[in-house]
Amino acid sequence: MAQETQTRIRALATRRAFLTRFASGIFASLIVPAVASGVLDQVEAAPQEGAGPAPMPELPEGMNGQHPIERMLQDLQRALQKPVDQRRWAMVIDLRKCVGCYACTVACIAENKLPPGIAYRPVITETRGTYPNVSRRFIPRPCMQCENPPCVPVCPVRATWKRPDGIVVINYDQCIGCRYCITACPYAARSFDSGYFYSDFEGGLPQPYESLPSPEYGENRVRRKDTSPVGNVRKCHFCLHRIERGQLPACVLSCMGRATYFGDLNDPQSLVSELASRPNAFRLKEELGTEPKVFYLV
Amino acid sequence: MIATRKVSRRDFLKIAGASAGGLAAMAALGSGFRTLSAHEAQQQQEAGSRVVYTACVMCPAECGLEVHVENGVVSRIYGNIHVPYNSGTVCAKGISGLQLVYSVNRIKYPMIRVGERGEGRFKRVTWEEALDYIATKLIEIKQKYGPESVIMDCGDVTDRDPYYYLFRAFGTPHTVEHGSICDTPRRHGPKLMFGGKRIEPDIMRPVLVRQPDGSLKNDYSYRTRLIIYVGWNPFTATRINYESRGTVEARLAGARIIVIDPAFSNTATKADRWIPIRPGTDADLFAAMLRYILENHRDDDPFRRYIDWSFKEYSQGWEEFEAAFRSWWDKKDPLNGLPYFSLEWAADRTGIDAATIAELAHTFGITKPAALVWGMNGIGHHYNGYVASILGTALNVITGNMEVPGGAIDTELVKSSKGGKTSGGDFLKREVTRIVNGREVKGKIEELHMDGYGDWPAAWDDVVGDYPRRFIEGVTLRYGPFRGHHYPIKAYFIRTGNPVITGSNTQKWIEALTAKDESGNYKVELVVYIDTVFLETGLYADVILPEASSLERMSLSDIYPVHPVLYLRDFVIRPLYESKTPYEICWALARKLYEKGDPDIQPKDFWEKYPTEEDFWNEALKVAPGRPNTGEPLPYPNLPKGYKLLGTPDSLEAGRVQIDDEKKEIRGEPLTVQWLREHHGVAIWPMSWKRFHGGGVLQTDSKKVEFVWDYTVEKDGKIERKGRYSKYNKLIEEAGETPPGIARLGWQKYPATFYWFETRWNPYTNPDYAKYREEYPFQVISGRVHHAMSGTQMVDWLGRLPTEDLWAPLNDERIVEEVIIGENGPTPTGRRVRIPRGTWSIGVIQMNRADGERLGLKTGDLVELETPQGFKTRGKVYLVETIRPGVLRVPLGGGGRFSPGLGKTYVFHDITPNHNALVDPENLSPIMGQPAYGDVIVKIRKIG
Amino acid sequence: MNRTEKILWGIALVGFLAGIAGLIQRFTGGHTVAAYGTYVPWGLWVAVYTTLVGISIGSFLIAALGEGARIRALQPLTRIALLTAFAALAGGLLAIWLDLGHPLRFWKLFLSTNPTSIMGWMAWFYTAYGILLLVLIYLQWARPTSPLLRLLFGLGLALAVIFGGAEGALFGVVSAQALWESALVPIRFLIEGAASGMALVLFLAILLGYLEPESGRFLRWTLLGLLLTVAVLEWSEYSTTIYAGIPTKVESLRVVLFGPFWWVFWIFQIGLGLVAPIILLAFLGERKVWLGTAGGLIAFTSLSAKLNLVIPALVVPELEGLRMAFTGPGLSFDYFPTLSEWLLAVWVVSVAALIFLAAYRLLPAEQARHA
Ligand SMILES: Nc1nc2c(c(=O)[nH]1)N[C@H]1C(S)=C(S)[C@@H](COP(=O)(O)OP(=O)(O)OC[C@H]3O[C@@H](n4cnc5c(=O)[nH]c(N)nc54)[C@H](O)[C@@H]3O)O[C@H]1N2
Ligand SMILES: Nc1nc2c(c(=O)[nH]1)N[C@H]1C(S)=C(S)[C@@H](COP(=O)(O)OP(=O)(O)OC[C@H]3O[C@@H](n4cnc5c(=O)[nH]c(N)nc54)[C@H](O)[C@@H]3O)O[C@H]1N2
Ligand code: SF4
Ligand code: SF4
Ligand code: SF4
Ligand code: SF4
Ligand code: SF4
Ligand SMILES: [Mo]
Repeated sequence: MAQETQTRIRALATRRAFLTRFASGIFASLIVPAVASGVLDQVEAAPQEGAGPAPMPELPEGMNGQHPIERMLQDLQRALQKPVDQRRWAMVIDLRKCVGCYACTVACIAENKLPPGIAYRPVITETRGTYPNVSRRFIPRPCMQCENPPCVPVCPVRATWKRPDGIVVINYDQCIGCRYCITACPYAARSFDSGYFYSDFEGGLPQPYESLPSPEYGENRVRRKDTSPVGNVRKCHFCLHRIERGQLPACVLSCMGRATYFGDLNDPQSLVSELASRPNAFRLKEELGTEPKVFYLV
Repeated sequence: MIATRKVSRRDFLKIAGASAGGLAAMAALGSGFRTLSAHEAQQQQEAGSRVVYTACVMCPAECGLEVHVENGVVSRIYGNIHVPYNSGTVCAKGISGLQLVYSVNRIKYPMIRVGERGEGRFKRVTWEEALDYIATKLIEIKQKYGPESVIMDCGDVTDRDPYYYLFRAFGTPHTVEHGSICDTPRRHGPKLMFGGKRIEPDIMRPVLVRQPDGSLKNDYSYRTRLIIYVGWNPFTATRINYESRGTVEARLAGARIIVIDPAFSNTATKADRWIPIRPGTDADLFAAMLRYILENHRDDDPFRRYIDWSFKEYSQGWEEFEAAFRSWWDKKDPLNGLPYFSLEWAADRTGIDAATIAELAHTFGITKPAALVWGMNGIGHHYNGYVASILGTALNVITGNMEVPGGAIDTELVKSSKGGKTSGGDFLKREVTRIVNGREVKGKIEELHMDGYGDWPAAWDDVVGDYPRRFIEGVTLRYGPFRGHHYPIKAYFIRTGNPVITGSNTQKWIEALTAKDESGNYKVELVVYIDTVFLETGLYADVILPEASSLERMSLSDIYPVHPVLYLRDFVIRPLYESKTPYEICWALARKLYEKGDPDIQPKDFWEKYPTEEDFWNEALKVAPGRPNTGEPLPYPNLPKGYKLLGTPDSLEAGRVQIDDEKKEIRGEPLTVQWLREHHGVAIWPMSWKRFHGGGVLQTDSKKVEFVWDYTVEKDGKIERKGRYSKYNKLIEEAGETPPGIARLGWQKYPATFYWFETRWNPYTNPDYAKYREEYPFQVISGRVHHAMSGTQMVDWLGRLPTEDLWAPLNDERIVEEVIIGENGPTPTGRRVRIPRGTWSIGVIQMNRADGERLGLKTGDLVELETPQGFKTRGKVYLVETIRPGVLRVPLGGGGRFSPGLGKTYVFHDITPNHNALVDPENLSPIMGQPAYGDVIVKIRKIG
Repeated sequence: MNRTEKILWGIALVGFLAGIAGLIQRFTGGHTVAAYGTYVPWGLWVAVYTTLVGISIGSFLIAALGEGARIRALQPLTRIALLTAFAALAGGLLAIWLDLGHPLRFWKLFLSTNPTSIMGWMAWFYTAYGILLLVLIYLQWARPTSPLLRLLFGLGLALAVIFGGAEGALFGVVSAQALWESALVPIRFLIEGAASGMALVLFLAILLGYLEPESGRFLRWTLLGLLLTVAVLEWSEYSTTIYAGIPTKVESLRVVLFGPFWWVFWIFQIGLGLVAPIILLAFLGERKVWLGTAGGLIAFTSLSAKLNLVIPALVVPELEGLRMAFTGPGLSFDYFPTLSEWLLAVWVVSVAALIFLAAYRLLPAEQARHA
């Protein structure tokens, strides 16, 4: 509990620092009320279901720590011991292992209660060559959580920003839905929630699973017509609500090919640090200088 | 229905504020769709969130799940990390299970048909009425025609035990699963030679292994060096869940992967080599591989030491098999004039060049451990798939790959047993009397079986594909005590299956289900459809019963791990609407039959014996794991080797056991539902290898791998006939009549060892069909789509995912009058729903770009396919580089879907292809009568 | 009210009434009635907004040049230009307001402006510009002799130039969209805006019957100059793009030039918006009808240039293969406005027209030239 509060306060502090840096000049006075009213720090609020990281699940014992899930969970626990600004969450996707099953796509949709037309992690199929010399790979595309996120500076109302731990988040209550950030993201990782419901295509009455609160950002919002996140831009947030509780992102856990890894890049012992530093790691559109924190292995 | 459930449902109604009318009253508030408010009632009752460990049924892999429920609503589905089979993973279908549960197209209430069959007009009735109707009819049929006139087909979901139990008690031997529309030819080799079914690579990780220090640990090492997948696409057809992660992990650990498939399947994308074979020629390839290995093997040359002769220690009859195989080598193929099984011969037929085949054979021979694995469509769905299956099995055996670490494992032989008495097998042994040709004969119920004692004596999996004929013609038994007995088929129960779309030719099924006799009554008097979703077969039913979805019922999962693993399917939520679990349905029907005086249904067998659902499944668990303590490392070194293990893993581990030396059984504490619940839903017993040695897990007569299937042994001075074919041959000899399937091959009986015959409708290998080569230039095959069995793509998430060039967002824009499955069946909601262009995936025809361009076609063009028999279907072509020219591939169950229960897949039924509209209904594979879906040729015509 | 005015009122009212259907749909169906979404996040309404704002700046330039830079030939048009500028700005802002996912949160643009966001700055520019317009309108009519006027017009001139460019920078800084990311985009915005606004004022002045020959001549050559500049800018932009061959950019251009809506580019933007008016202005500009026609063509086709900037960039997937990765509403790279979108666009333009007409009724537009 204490740990949790501390994390939060620190997150807020860093956030303030960030603001002050940019809030020089004529706008400074205008920002204060927003911070004071708590609008901005809501996103960092504690995730649901009690506070603090959940205890490690009891797992089947592996030989020599080979269990990748076990290892990642331990990495997570270690990271959560550190202050938030010393974590740097990252994902590694091994394209040699991705079997193109879309489990991650749908796991994410189910986890975050995403409506029709929104997928934070579609899987792109890339086919090359002519018969019989063809090759194909599957490229899952979550948000890259760019170190230099082009989506952030364009937001006119500072509804989206990079957290100290590197995750680019969106405050749904602040976002005015201008969609400027969508155009700015070179990875098409941002989606506009136009307000569709599954029931629009199926019978018209709300489906139970779309009436449940979404755990995103630990806010437990129930999605309704005309209220946020409808009308907002949404994106992958590395399952912030799960990792803060010591759980792996839904897509990582579900992955049929065990192709997706997650952890703290600032921790040299973590699995992702190990994998991301391999010579066969690359990032999408590296030339743009966005410094994605999603690495692909080929 | 059992007491506890009744109470809870009543409580729940109270909370919902509904009085005596219950759900009916709530439904009356609205158009019949209002009843969703039932969820709200349940939500109140079950506030808060919880986690349930259970097993998936969105496909037959039946993975272990961890399901989260919030306020009574299933909110998220994860893989159960404690189940090594899927080790925490789950596929897109599995997660979408929650959409299926809440689908508006679920069957919500019992219904009785009001229109003609096929019209889709039903009325809602109470369970009481529905069961009364069924029981009355069943008893009438039983009295008039005998219980054998009833078929209970349990389709493709394995938790069928309550149905088996009830219908076998009722007295019909025709309590079957979808067996013979799945893959019997594919299973044939392992079945004949091991008594098994499914050869899979040893890549399930983790495996729980006994360590030298005596402890048990999860081992993640991949030892496999080579896997050849032939017409088997585990990345898409996810039946063996661990093959998704295992294949890629094994490859990173150094294994070579080769995929042989006319289409560039998802599995092929991760292969070192993709070999696009001509459809229906896999047996040719295997034969050439075997010949190459036999001709080129050198004991003294380490680079050509293909055969591992140690296989002889645990096999018998290889010499006869080899001799029979070699006897073909000098014969010439009438079509190409080349010697059988030679490289050139195979090259001509398979379309793979000779050097590649030689290299493939060499690679397989020299690389160890390896596994040669084949699938349904490649082999199981061809007329001569048996031959390929036998050859493939032999290849795995003689190269020494069976049961070695990293090699090949017959999972059927090593998975945990389950079921036991709950399958009702004992009832089949009951003696009954029939009047045959004026004579009174006695025999066992099982001897009335229409396949085993009728046209398909080798059909150890019943011949669903041949039903339509029997619906129309009835059954005449040819073998056994009841030889000559004729009976009609009068009742057909179909649960979790959709044969109108999947069981071979769709039109033929429709004809059979709607055929009438002279007096204008339907020939099959009673058709009952028991399912969660409303598929085509339901349109032809008289009574429709809503079965609880997989998240609303209890049972055990049936899977294919490499060592015994068993887990529970548990109640995650209560059955929605008025659906009932299989146990509840069967027990309620049993009560009705009993009340109406059916003499075969006795309280002592039903509610008195298994008063609660849990009792029933505890019975089914009594036989687990039921495998011998065998192999290396020995699973339980402190317990006697070779003895059959029974009981919980912890009691066996701790030695809390009784040892029965007579029966050679080790009995620990019996496994129960409760034990499973307390252990994340799963029981895991240790892995070992070399389980064929000394009999081990083999289930053949000789307890050895058998290369001969009809042989004699001398035992205590008596000559006994052994081998799997021997018992059929005995029947044939007694009756002096050859079964029609093999008579067509020119055989008198089943051969004792290696045999060869050609597939049909293949102009490249069978001279009878060579004449079609020019006019019908395309072979049409099918493949699974990632997200669908025959019904699951109706859920939103799965319908939106494009996959493998078979399922693509090529929909045109439509504004549709929405129809959903209401309380009276298909019902318009009055809403108009717009489906914009390109936003929904539909089944397409995968076609090579060069073929398309030659025909002046482009992606999205609507074409019609027509077979020489005049069968037609239509769909949009998708021009890609990922398929062999001359081959078209369509998704199984992906098109032509005319049940409104399929949602948007139904909307596009007029522009999507149904493979089974094309399949020759008479093309049943000769030994076990499975439809040969894969043998189809067509010409193509552009229509839009 | 003369006949022309009546007709204009009539058209605007019809548009207004018809457009109400779009408005109702926007409010009942939210954004589900529109064809834009995730892959093409901006559509017709954004194009309408940029067009109207461009027109506003262009018209304002007439007034500012006339009064601030004392270009006498333009002075008779000051008043009508001011009214046009104001009406167009109002319409543009209305369009973008309705385009927001949460229109009621527009105030956040002021209370928590992001200093790094051009759009954030734009909010303030609009406010400043809108206030300036109001003040100028007030002064122009109530205190036409105020010395403040010239000062403010001068200031406005500077503001308009920056502002016109900044509007383009909104797109120009988005490096994710190859077609937009170009130093030329802000300049194009400014020039195109100037041309369309001036053309509209010219058109209205002729229509309402008080264009003086001197103004006509001045505008004729100015417009011709601007159009030729546009032509040169477009040419250099397109040719360098094709020459440099950045794949996504070329792909976007391919969409513009040969895509399903090739006719928007060739017929509207080039044919009617550039070639025809250049010919008219160059060869037939003596006569009012042709001058007016040219003005009308430039003004009314200016939307096509904006459509061709906003949409083609977005219809090219950021990552190859996205098109087939997942499907659903909003996940389409083919964009064509829905009926609701067209109706709402018509409504917005009609509102702008009505504002203009009402103001024109209330505030006499005849303006004397300064001595
Ligand atoms: N997602 C999903 N998973 C499933 C199912 C499902 O419906 N959907 N069904 C389950 C069931 S019941 C089964 S039986 C299994 C089936 O599992 P599989 O047999 O693996 O699946 P299929 O797609 O039927 O066929 C595999 C491949 O065979 C290829 N093929 C077709 N004809 C030939 C041929 O003549 N020769 C060769 N070499 N290849 C050929 C096809 O192109 C296809 O890629 O999947 C199970 N898992
Ligand atoms: N042309 C062609 N035909 C084929 C094949 C092919 O490859 N090509 N493949 C063949 C093969 S391998 C097979 S196995 C068969 C499969 O054919 P079927 O045995 O007909 O299986 P499915 O079509 O998958 O239908 C499964 C049924 O189970 C229902 N179901 C799923 N879960 C539940 C549940 O929990 N409870 C109840 N009551 N119902 C449930 C689904 O709604 C659906 O009706 O098709 C065969 N037909
Ligand atoms: S991937 Fe896109 S949305 Fe994610 S941080 Fe980078 S720019 Fe922003
Ligand atoms: S859509 Fe929301 S998050 Fe994106 S730029 Fe606009 S206000 Fe910011
Ligand atoms: S990390 Fe979470 S939010 Fe991001 S793609 Fe994975 S499941 Fe979705
Ligand atoms: S779940 Fe894993 S294997 Fe499947 S598509 Fe996603 S990343 Fe690839
Ligand atoms: S593979 Fe089959 S059983 Fe496993 S999660 Fe997917 S659908 Fe369910
Ligand atoms: Mo199957």
